[in-house]
Amino acid sequence: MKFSLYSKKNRLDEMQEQTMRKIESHGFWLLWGSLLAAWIVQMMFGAADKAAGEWVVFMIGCIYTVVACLRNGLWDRHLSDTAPANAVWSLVAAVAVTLIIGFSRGYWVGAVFVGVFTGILCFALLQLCAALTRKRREHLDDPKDGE
Amino acid sequence: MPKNLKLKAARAEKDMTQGALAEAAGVSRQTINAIEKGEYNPTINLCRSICKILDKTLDELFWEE
Repeated sequence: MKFSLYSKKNRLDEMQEQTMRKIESHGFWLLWGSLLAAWIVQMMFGAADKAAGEWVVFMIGCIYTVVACLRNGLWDRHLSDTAPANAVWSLVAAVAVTLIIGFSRGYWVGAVFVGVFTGILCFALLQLCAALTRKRREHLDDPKDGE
Repeated sequence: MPKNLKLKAARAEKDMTQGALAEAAGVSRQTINAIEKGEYNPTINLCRSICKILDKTLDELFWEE
């Protein structure tokens, strides 16, 4: 039998490919959640400097996902890209950051300040991404292209 | 999704096993099994390929009333 370590041809059929994609997706979100949890725990115990590696890996994954979604004009399967929805998620981020900084540093005034700043930054970024996604989707849906 | 009994019957008509049909269509036996059990919705390309192998039309194998 001929030894083959790698084949350019996909060895999976369409159903196996679909299953593999689901497994990869679940694996990605498991890693994403675990890395975020690990980073938060390290922050809470005052070891943020030791969590730099996790943070870099986490950000690489996030940036890749955001850029790939923007390029394909995709937002989310279930969540809406409206300003009120973005405001709610920004508020969640603001509260989470306030609590994490507050509990880890014990300096609540500073924590609230950082939390509010995070909320504003988060809202601005979400709005920017939503606008870019809509623009990209309009371009991809352009009937002039391909008719 | 309901079971695809029409596919199972057409395969039996040709005296083919799931494995034989899978090999002819270039997919795994588990994929053919999943289609027959109604657990997987195949792409149009695979449907066409199965129809050609079993000498049936798309309507005969995959149309649901």
